[in-house]
Parts: sequence; C-alpha cells; structure tokens
Amino acid sequence: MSDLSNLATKRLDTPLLLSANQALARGAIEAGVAFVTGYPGTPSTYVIEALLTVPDLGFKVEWSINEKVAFEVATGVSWAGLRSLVTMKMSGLNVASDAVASVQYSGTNGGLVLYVADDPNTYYGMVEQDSRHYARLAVAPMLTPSSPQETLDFLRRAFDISEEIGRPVMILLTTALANTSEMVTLGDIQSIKRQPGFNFDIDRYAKAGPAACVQQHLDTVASLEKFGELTDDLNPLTLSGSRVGIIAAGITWNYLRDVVQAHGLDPCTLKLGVAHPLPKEKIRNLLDRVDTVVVLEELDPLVEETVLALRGEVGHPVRVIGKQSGHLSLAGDYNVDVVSSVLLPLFPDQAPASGHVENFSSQAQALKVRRLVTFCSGCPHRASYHALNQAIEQLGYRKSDVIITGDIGCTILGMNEPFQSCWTEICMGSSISLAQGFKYAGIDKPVIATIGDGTFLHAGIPALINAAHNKCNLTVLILDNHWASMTGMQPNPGTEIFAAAQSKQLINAEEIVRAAGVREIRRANPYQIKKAIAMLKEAISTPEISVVFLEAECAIQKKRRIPGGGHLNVKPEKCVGLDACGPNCIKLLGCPALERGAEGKAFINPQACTACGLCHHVCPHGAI
Amino acid sequence: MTQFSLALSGLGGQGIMTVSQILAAAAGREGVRVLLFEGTGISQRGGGVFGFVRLGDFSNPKIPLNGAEALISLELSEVASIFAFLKPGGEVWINAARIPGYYSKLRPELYPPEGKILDLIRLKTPRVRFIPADRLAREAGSAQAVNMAMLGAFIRRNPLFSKESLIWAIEESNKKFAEKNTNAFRRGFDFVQTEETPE
Repeated sequence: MSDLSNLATKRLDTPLLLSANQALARGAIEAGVAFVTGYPGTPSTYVIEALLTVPDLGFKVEWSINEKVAFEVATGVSWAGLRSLVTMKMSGLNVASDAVASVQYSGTNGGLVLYVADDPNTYYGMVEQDSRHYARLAVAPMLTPSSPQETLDFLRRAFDISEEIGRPVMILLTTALANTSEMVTLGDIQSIKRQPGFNFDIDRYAKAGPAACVQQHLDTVASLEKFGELTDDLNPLTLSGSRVGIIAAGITWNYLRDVVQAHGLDPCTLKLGVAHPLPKEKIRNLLDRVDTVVVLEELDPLVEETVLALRGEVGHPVRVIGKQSGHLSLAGDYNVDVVSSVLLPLFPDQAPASGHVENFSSQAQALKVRRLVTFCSGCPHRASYHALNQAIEQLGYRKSDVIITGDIGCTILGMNEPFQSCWTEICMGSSISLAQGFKYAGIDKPVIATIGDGTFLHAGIPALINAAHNKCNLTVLILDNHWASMTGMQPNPGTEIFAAAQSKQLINAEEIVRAAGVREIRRANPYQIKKAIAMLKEAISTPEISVVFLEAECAIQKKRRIPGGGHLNVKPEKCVGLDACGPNCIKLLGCPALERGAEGKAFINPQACTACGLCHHVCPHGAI
Repeated sequence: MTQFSLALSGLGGQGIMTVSQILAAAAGREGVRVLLFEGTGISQRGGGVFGFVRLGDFSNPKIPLNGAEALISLELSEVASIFAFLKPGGEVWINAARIPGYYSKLRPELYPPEGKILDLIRLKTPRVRFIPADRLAREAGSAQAVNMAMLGAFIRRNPLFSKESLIWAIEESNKKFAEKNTNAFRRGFDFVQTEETPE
C-alpha cells in the first residue's frame, strides 16, 4: 500500500492518488468523525487499514468483534451527538442487519454512515449479494458513488444529510470501485467539537408499544423522502433529444461514459448516485422522451423493476432493455464489453456492426497453469489439517466416514487439496452449529468442526454454548493463529501482542470455552505433530463435547516480527525423487516452499521456507 | 497524452500493485490522468494477481477485451490470464521465469512449454519480449526487484513518462529499498538497449 501518512494533512493543494476505500478514509477525516469501526471483510477492509496507518488522527479507530457490535457501538456514539463511520462487507451487513433495521427507525443525532462493500463477480469468494435490498428493507437511504472522487464527496454529503434528516445513511461500493484508484482532490477537514449528550425519549429510542413503533415507521418513511429531495442533484438527468435513454446506477456510469465517448453516442442519460430512494419523477421524465431505455445496474434488477412499473404511466410504449428482457445477466459485474453489447446495436449509424474481433480468451485459458489456493509456507493450519487427517485414519475411520464442517477465514482452505478435510462452509461461526445439526440428524460417526480463533470470537461462541448446553457430542478444533489472516492480519481480542501493545484487555478463548461448560479441553502445538495427532485422537474418541486449541502464530506475522529463522534443506543423496516416492512431500502437504528441483528431487526454496518441520516429519526417507 | 492501457499479471507477492502505483505516481507528477485497478483476489494464498493501469481520458479502470496497448507479466504462464485484454498488434513483456503450482510441480508436463505460450501470443502480435528479469534483479542486489527490472525494460520502449519521474516514483514508493529498486529498474532499462531477444 502506498504511504498514506499524509492522509490527515489539513490542506493539500495537489490531488492524492487514492483508491475509493482510501477516499472513504480521507472522507471520514474531512467529515470530522469521532469514531470509526468495522469488521475486516475484503474489499471493505482497507478503509480502517488506511486510517490505522495515519499518525495522530485525533479520533478513535478500532476493529470490532463483529459487524453487529460495531454498528451498535457506532450508534451509541451517534446518539450521543458525535459522528461515526462503520465499515463491513456484504456478509457483515447480514450480521449487522438486526441492529441496522432497528436503528433506522429510531434515527440518529450525530451523523452515522454505514459503508458496505458488495462483491459482484466474487473477486474474494462468498455470495454475489446485492446489498441495495437492505436499503429497501430498512427504509434506509443509500448512496452509490461511481468513482474514488465521488466516494469522498458523497461521504461528506452523507454525514451532513444524515444529521439533517436524523437517520443513518448507507454508502455502497463494489469491489471494482473499492479497488480503483485515481487522483482525488481533497477537501477541508472540518473541526467538529461537540459535547456528548443524550435525552430520555423512549418513543424514539425504544421499541415499546405499537403506537410508538408505527409512528417511528412513518417518520422513517418521511425522512427517506426528504433524503430524496436533498440528494436530487446526485441523479443528473441529461435529455439530448435521442430516442434512446440509459439509466446507469453507481459504477456502471463509468462504463457507459467510456462507451459513449469511444463511439460518439449521444443518448439521454440518467446517472443514479442514489440507490434508495429512486428518483421516480426523473425516471418518468426520461421515459416521456424516449422509445427505448437501457437499465444498467449490477446484480438484481431493482431499478429495472421500478422502470417497468413506471412505464405504464407514460403515454407511449417504451421498450426496456435489461435483465428481464434477457439482455443482461443477474450475475457478475459489468464492464465496457458488457455495456457495449447492449448499447451499440441501438446506434447502428454511429456504431455500425463491425466484424467480430477474436480475443483468444479460450486459447489463453487452456494454457493457464492451474494453481492451488492453499496455506502459506509454514502455516500452522497445514500442520493442523495434516494431524487431523492422520488422527482420523489412525482411529480406523475412512475419510468419508467423518464429516468435518469448516468455517470462514484461512481455516477453510483445509477443504482444498491436498487435505480435502472440510466438507462445508456457510458463514461466520456456523461450523459448530452445523455440526450439531449433523449429530441431531443421527450421524453416529464423529462430527468435527474447525474454526479460527477470530471467527470463534465473532460468531462461534453462541454456537458453542448451544452445543455444550445441549450436551451434543462434537469435536471442535479452534485453529488459533492469533490473527485474522485471510483479510490481511488484523488483530482480534485474543491477539496477545496487540492487546499488550495497545493496553487492551486480552480475551482468553479457553476461559470462554470452559465457562460454556465444556470439560474436555485440550491444547496442542500443531508443529509438534505426533503430540497433536495423539491429542486429536483422544478428543475425537471422547463421548462428549470436546474442544482442541491447535495454537501457533500465523507464519507470515511471525516472520514479519522475527525475520530470519532459517530454513530446511533436502539431502539429495537421500531423496529418491518425487516420482519414485509414494505420496511425496509435495503431494502430501502442498507447501509452496517445496519445489521440484534438479533430477526430479524435492527442493526447498530457502526464501519461502520457515523451518516449520512438517516436511521433515512426513519424509519416509529421512531426506529433509 | 493519448490514451494508453496496460494490463499486468503475476503471482501474489511479486509486486504487481507496486508497479501500478509507481506508474500512477509518475503520471500524477507529470499531470497525466490515471486510473488503476487492483485484481488481488486471494492472491496471498497462491492465486494469480492482475492489475490495470489506464492513462489518459478514461472514466473506468477496467480494460476492455482487445483493449490493452501492452501487457507485462512477471511470470511466464500468467500472461495467459490477461491475454484476452491485449490489443491485436500490441506489445507483450514477459519475465522468462517459471513458477509452477502444486499440480505442475507434481506433473511438470502440466506447465506449458515456452513455445506454446509464444504461439498463443503470435495469434495477436509479433511484438513479444522475454526479459531475464530474475537475473537482472539479482544482479541489482535484490531478488525481489523483478517487477522493477520489468518496468525498466518496458519503459525503455514505451517512454510514457520521463526516466526521472519514474526514478522519483520508485524512490517515493519504498524509501528503504530505493537504491536496489532503482538499480533493478536501470538494469531492465539498459538490458533492452544492449541485448537483443527473440522478437
């Protein structure tokens, strides 16, 4: 990441290269926030990551235990009159949604903005969720900027309008925007000094009684309408005289602009900077002037449905081109090629159909080297899954006998080759509850849940309490590497180094497990492979719920803190060669540091090796 | 300046994003409009990385199919992942080094031979340069600086910005490794002038 230590500089006359995520970080500084929190979820992660690199911010920035808690803490700050920003990815909004729906009805005092990042085309895994549905569901205003500059400008507006209408405002980016950088012109930093305070008003801040709740609902609807009026300029309508109109939501506006510019087209356009509420009057005005309208929006056809509903109100037939007409897909993200494919046929004079130019993508795909998404060199999880598979085998089970439920984070990579341990992945914390369900269904063989330490603290605790309380015979493996590594090594409340450095209370997951009534608790270092296997065998054989902590620090974090550490070597005179060796070290472990060297023998890349010793353990010839 | 789109590919940790940001910083210094796109995915765990750099009057950072003036790949076979974006007749710059994956370590025949990759590229363009960037980076004193050597080689033939702006951007991007990185950049730059590679 580029150096952002000047992100909080009061005035910068020259533009700064910022991604939309970094622009949000700057926007929070400019808007005079008192508090920023969130939970790591890529691509939303980099807002807080950027803020944490800035010295002397003058306000509090922290990772929260989960998204719901983050939103609730921020709500408290806001109800006390100060500004706060909350960040999360779409899966996190699902977690926070209970609080989000409720707070929207009560409203806010200090500005409260919720940034959510959707991931159409799943650059980072998980579902292609369209979070605009949450704006409708919660009667919440939502902004959808199209560029990093707009992201900064919209965030400042969002804080001002949040206070003007007294409601939280959502701002939605997609991966393609969150990871786009451009030169961004910065604004002034507002200095907001407010005394915190809060008034007793249960009609607003509680949900006690139908009369108050219905009134809260009516007030929320009214505030949404007011938001629409205040943000009318974010939905610019340009009537060119063309009989073709384009409605472009969020980032799709930029694809449209590039296509329009490249081919010299002049359609009527409506750019939507607001996802909710939609500017119905402007949509009507556009429909009045055109015979064909193209709706550009990624994922679900929310704008398109509104357009189809409004189409009947104009006096002439209007053809609507979008997802329901079969022209555009419900899945994936858009780009210039997608937009060209629907737009150019509507302008045969300006963009005559040229012959198809082959891009040879299938020939290129055929040559692509298939790569395994797996654990880093020296990762303790590799040792843990190796030990787990060994323990299952040594207990006399077949691999297909033992269901292992996986969870979110690096630990899920145990589903891939060479381990193929984890069978399932739902959402944060679900490995334990799903495993309970398998036992309830009557699976009589062992059922094992694996979960990382951060994921356990985020959402695994209630599931563990449920399983322990109901005396369900599960084995839960907490793969404790101290960091949220999949999202870039954020700390969690159990990260000892972080808690000590920041004078925070260290949270001991083992004490939580004990407090849940689990009696069978074990702790092993996965690199001490024989001990770990023995301990796992005991835990799996125990006729009651048991928890095993397989604990060793994330290898990347450890190497950053303690460089060096040495590496192992292969003794070529002992190595029989990869092709002659039964299941060889690469096949068994998939460690990136293990390579095919001279004469087909194993070779250890000294730069990548962390000397974890796992390959030494599996080599049958004592060659490592 | 006129429009220029560059697509980059490689593996996690090779420094694709650093090259993109250096180009963007140089663009900023020379007042050229620039857009970057980072396709990192879960690259840290062994996957590929791609990046787009677009200079000039563009509104969106994603390069269309057949839309890139040039490709830079920091790994031989990874050029395949961005090949569809290459404009017919465009330039291809490849680090000649191979980094096999899990499957191609077990079965080396799964890694495509250089000839097949060359055949693929020639479907669109004769303008391809293989650069021994691993060696150039090592000679510059930093095995990590493969990305800088590739950038230097590319810039020699595509003077999008002054050498001075690029050296400044390289130094700004990482002060600790400034000397090794600029050395590797210069090695790449000079290599294209002094040695001929298959064209």
